[in-house]
Amino acid sequence: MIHICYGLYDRDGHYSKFVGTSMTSVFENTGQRVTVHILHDNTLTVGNRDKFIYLAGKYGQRVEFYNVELLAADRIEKIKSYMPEWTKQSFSIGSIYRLIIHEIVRVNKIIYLDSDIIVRRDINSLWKFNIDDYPLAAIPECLNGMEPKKNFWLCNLGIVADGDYFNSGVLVLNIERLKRNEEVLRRGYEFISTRRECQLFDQDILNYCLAAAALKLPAEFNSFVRWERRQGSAVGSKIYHFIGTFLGEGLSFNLDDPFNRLYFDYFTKSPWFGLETLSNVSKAFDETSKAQRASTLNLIKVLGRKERAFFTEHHNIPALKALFEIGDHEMIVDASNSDALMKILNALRPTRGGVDARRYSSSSRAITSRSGISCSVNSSSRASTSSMQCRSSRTSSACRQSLTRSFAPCKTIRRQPRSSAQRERVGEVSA
Amino acid sequence: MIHICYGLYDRDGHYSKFVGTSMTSVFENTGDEITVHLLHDNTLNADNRDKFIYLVGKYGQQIKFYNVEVLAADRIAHIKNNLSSILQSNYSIATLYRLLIPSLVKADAKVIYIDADIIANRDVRDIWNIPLNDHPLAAMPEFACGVKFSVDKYLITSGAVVGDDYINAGLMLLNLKYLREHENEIWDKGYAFVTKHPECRYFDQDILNYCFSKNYVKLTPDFNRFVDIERVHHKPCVVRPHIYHFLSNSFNADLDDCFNRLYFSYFVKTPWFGADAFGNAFKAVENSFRAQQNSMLSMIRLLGKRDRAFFTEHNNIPAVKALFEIGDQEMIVDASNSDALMKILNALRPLNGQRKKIFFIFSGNYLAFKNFLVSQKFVEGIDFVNAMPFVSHILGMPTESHSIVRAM
Repeated sequence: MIHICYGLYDRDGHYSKFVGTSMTSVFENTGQRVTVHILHDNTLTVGNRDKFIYLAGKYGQRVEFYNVELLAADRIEKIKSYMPEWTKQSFSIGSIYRLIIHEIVRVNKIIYLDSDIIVRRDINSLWKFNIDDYPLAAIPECLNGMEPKKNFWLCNLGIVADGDYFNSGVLVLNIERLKRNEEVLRRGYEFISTRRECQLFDQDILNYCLAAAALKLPAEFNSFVRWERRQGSAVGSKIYHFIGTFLGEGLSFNLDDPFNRLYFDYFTKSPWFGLETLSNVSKAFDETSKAQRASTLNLIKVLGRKERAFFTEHHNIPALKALFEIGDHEMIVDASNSDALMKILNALRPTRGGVDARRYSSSSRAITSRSGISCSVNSSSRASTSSMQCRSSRTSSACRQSLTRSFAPCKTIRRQPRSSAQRERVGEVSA
Repeated sequence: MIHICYGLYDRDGHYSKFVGTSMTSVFENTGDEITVHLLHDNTLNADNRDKFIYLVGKYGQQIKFYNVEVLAADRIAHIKNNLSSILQSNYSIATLYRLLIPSLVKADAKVIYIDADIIANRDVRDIWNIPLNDHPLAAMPEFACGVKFSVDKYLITSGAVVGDDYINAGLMLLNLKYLREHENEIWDKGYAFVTKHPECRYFDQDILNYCFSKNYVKLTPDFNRFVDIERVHHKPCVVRPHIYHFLSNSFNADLDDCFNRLYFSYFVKTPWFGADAFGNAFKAVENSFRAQQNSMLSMIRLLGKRDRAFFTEHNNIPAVKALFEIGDQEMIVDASNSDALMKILNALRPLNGQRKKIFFIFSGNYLAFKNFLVSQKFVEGIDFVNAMPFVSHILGMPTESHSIVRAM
């Protein structure tokens, strides 16, 4: 019997399907008997619970449920008290359930999987590793193209060796050993709780305490899909991690991508695939489509009253001129000029003596094209790319995200912090 | 054993799923053994054929394939030569395949013909049991289910067929014995008449009406309820155990609508509902968004160089003014004025020194405007645009999503 564990926090009921899809991939590829242990909380709905039971039953496997809010409420509270405030904002509480598996599940050995893991090989190949002499087995981040010194503060400070820092998405846990390491873990919590650098709470705890002692496994047991894509790899017999699922680099509906297709091949076999999926996707399309029409209408309104003006970096001016068919009399503010922002402010307040605005009829005011601005942000990396191309590629990826979202929970995404590019843009405008 | 029949022409491989969805609705609601007779042509690809076989097998039913391009090559060639207008119409050539049923389908006495856009939300045995006696077919007269509009039906306007008798050919119980004996009537009389009269825009349906409108068994509307009419007349909408006809593509992806939901509740049971359905839908979504982005970019370009001008009916002027925040100095052409068109033409041909205009056209008959302005050498998207799509979300019109369903 192989034991597998997931942690589940499902605020709006749309997250369980990811765990279900991961389970489906495990069941589809093994000839072994599997028991899935789901550590959940009060957010697990009856409907989703039924689907888990149905799914396991369909494959002749077992599923067991552990409500951590009933079984270990005080432990959860204790761990939460160690979490630095800022890590609570962007991470699901479900991510820390992996830290109490050894306290709740009564088995000797267990595989922990994140919900964005697709197992495309017999899970027995992972189970077979002998970890009697280790607290856990995991896959080092450096095997997936990460640069530990750059990406992880624990490595940057030399607390964890570069080759040791592992990803906490796939773990094989030695329950007995972990129980004996309770004191080590407690010291880890205390240390991490004081560190401002901490971003990945659960992963940092485990690495701080156990990175050196862990058995390191090859990348094929936790292979980042974005890394595989960058290398142009074909889908193989591996365990795939759709890391960054909600930020566009992970899962999307573009099924020309073999990894997305792999994901959806399993999702479509799960009981979450049905009429409601279609309905949710359709709603997301409708919403996005309405928003686009609204913003076009808004442009038509505004451009009826205001003159256009553009803001971009010097080397982008010719591209921008061609793309927006900008006439010689129209205003283009060169971002490289030191007084660029002042120029924008003056143009936006024509009555206060704006330079160019005076040229226009008294009722007209300048509108600084948002497209122009967004181009200026992206321009440093793509010098001559036309701005609308930047814009449309980003919008398209935003739309893709929005679809994946409604297929996924909408609000989860909105909680995500803005990408640095977005922040930069907002900053420039309001400066 | 109940025999049912479909016609299929599948230009891009995405149409078979509609036939599959209709079949699924039949299978789901009957306890009888069913044999499906599928009249198709060379457009049926191997993948779709496999899916039909899988679907029928899943329900323990049977299917027979008939390639009309092989089995009735002469007729098909004749149609393509003499009724080529069908190839440019909203109908596909497959709409005529039902006329080949008597000669091709291997069933003894009778067969139920079903359009691909029909969902049988009741047992088809109820149709099968209707006695035909010596009548050629049983079908539903269109007026009975609330169709009021007949000016586009030449057979009615010319007096050849009484309006109350006009058959909807979407769902029919066909008397094969009778029709085999009277096959020449269909081809020598009906088909010949329709090929001679291009006013007949309903092809197969006009042919059948021409031949049999005085001599058929009239079904109650419950066997062929038009969904677009049901939506208007029955609010809040309720799905009942009827046979529903989703004609003119009257379904889209809005699953809050009970009829769309009915449709898709059968679609999700077909082998066409899978990862590919999502991948294909996503591509259509991307195309739709790209088109919207392009229209936004083109607005930013045009409005940098041109002044706005509007064209709308008199009673709409206040609403349009508010929607587009139109200033007093801007031009609004009142459609009710007799010289409206002249005003537009003059405005589009500005005197020296004046800025050019772009006309936002608000009209129920945009197409007529477009044709007129194009004939005057003006360009859609530069000199004038259809303004309706920009405000459709405010007017509460549904997002166009049938194209996405079609692509799935």
